[in-house]
Amino acid sequence: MADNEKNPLDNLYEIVGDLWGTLRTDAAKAAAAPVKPAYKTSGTVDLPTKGEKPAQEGAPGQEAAEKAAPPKDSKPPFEAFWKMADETVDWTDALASAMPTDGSVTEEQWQVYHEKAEQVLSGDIRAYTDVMKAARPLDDLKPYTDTFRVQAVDADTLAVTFEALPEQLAGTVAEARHYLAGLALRCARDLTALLPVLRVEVTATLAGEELLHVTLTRREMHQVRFAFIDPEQYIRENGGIFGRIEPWAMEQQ
Amino acid sequence: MEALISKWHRELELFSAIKPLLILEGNVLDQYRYPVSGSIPEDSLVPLSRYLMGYFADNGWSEIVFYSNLMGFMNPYDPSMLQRYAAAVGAKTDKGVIPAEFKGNKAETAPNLIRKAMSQDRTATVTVLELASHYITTPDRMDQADVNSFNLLLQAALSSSTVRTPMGRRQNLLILLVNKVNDLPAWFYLNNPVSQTITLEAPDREERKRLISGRAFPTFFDSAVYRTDMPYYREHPDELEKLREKFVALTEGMTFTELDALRRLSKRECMPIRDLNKVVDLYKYGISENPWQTLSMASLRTAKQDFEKRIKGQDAALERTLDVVKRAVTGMNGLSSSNTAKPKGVLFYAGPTGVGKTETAKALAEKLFGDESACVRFDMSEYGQSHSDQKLMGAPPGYVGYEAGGQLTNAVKKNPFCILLFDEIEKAHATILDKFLQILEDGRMTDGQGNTVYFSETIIIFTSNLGIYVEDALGNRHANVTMDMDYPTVQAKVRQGIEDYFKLELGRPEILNRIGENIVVFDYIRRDAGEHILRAQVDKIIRRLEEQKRIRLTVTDEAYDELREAALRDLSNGGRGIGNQVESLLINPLSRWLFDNEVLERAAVTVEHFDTASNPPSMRCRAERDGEEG
Repeated sequence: MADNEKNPLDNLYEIVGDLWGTLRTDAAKAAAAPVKPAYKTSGTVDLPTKGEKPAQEGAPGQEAAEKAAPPKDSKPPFEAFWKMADETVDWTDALASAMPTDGSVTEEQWQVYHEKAEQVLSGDIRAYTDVMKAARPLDDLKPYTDTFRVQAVDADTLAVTFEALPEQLAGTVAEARHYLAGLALRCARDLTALLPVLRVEVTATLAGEELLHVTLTRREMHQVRFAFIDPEQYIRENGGIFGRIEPWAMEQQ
Repeated sequence: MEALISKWHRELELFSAIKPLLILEGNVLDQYRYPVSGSIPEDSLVPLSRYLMGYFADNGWSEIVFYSNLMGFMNPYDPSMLQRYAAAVGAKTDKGVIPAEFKGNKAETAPNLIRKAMSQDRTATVTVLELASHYITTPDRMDQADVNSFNLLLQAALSSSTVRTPMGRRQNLLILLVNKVNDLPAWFYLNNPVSQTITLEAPDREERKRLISGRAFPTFFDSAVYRTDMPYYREHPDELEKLREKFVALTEGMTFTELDALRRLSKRECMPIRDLNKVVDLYKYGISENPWQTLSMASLRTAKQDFEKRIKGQDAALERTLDVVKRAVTGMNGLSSSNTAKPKGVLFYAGPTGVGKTETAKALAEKLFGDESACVRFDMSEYGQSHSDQKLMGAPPGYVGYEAGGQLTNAVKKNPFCILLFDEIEKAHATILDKFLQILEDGRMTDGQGNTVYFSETIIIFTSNLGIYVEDALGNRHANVTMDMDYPTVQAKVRQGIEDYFKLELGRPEILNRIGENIVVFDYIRRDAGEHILRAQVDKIIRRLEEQKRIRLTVTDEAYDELREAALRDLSNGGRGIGNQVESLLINPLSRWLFDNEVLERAAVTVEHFDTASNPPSMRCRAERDGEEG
């Protein structure tokens, strides 16, 4: 699909948020932010591909708007980044609801959503890929790395790999781990919010070396109070294994 | 799936075609399930105003506006309707509303604008007055301005025009949403041929079944749960049907808003489909692990033996009590009723004083919930006044004590899994018995602060001395049962006494009906049971002295026989009477002797003789201090 073609799933977050019983008024509709542009399609989902134009900043919907704005600084702070996540896409609502009549979606679009909801809820991996290409859930993590690669292992599992940015590892070892853990949590939170998978395997690498590998479950990602956890400790408690970071990090207190 | 249309919706269809003034009363603050797809998706849960907007827009009315005396006229769903309505009545909009006061009869007041809308015949209008119960303080004390306002509304209804629309002729409608129809002045709706009152009820069984079986069903679950669990239930639809049936039963009396909260909670907590009904516990009590479901069967099997260690000589009563518990544990307590939200069990303990009624309740609490404190006792002699129900359920807003809530409702809110023991129920005022009727029937009660408290996980036990004494025609009390009667006779006479009290004296047979066959009559403490009680109490004293004072107490056989003869001479006061005797004959003389002889710890003391005839009773002892003889 060419970049300028309109993908019917473009405004996924806006439409499939919480349909059931939440009928938007015109005022709410008017407040909805612009949708993300269509995205390149290919086998697995590489986010983003070289040479591709960057995504529009800002996500539609109130909750999404509360996500941290990607910092312009080349070394953005990570204090609270992993405490936020994308709005959950409610596929059971999309499956069960009739088409909203507030004008936010055309009949054609709705047909696609409905079919996609059926496919996603039947565990169709190709549907997962389509949805990820349209929704690009990890776009707002670009300032922290631009090399996400997401693969649906099976209907229950997504595997994410990313290449850590050397400059993000240049501080202390603790800071470097904080960066990797925070990013892993955000990947898992955003992906489990988008798709009905039970777990997300996250692997961080740099120059062929594995810096972190962890498997995070959906239940945890939906129920943990992220405001109160330390990401590095949480990742360790959930079986995460950090590789050797020292070659890139400065040992300093 | 065929559309399920509620009774009130059918009435709305019917009367909106023939009457210009509709009063919707009752559950108007709730959400409602939209029954057919139109401008609102079928089976969506929407507020009543949204429902009415959808219904009238789908059925040919072109201008639908909502009025409240705080905001004025507005339409949050389609502001263009408000603009057209304003043009039709010659009013101006300001920031999305037509500001208008309710009171009075000036040209710019709401009733006058409504009259204009109702009498014009260019466009079909619906004017919905929201929260109309609150426009006046009370219908009995309206000032002239209030009367004028309602008069104008009445005239508006009487002058309603019909309008030709593409869907046929439609008349202009005025709809009032009120909590109770008598919040309005009676002359406004009584004997009014142009008005119709439609009552909105909480969702019935069919509505609840539809919500959990229809299009909304998937929305009760997180996407991943639905994806992983549904294949199994597609293969086993009968199991899914059972889960749905139970859900319908457990949600008896809930509003749509509450059902929607269950739906959202289930999704948020990622509840598996098999745990659909746990979300009801989670919603009601804030926990998903119900102690009733984690009761140890092995522990229950030995319950009778365990109880007999604490309560002597009450075989039949214990058996009946355990029957109720077994019924609750096996989930069979709701089989004879469509309402499983009722309490787990109801017991009415009757019998002479001191025979173990309260003790049985405590033992039951310990067995079921692992702690005697799960038996919450209310001494009903403290609730003998007509206003005492406010102590139990909480005072209404504006009254002293409102903030404190009710003693009963607070206790159940704090611990919904408990035994509620209402001691000496016959001493409570009759108005309180009415409250109990509701608890026994519906299993829920709304306190003065508006919080609903659920009794469906409690066992309710009433105790009473009814039937033990009767009054003759002159008002003199006589013993109805005596120690020399056998248990079947005592049981029959006490039951009859209870029935007479509720049917003849109180005139409330319906209360007796709610208790059903759960009257448990405790027997007198007979001689053999009395001996067990005495032995247990003496052993307890011996054990405590040893633990606390290192005093090893022995009672010789001769002395024990003397004690037994005196303590068991009069068993009419039951176990408590034996306790009193032990205190009088053993504890008091013993403490006196220990004090006088300065035997305060570390000694062996032998009681050789009780002088029960002396006043006060005394005893002869000998003591051997550890290391010397005294």
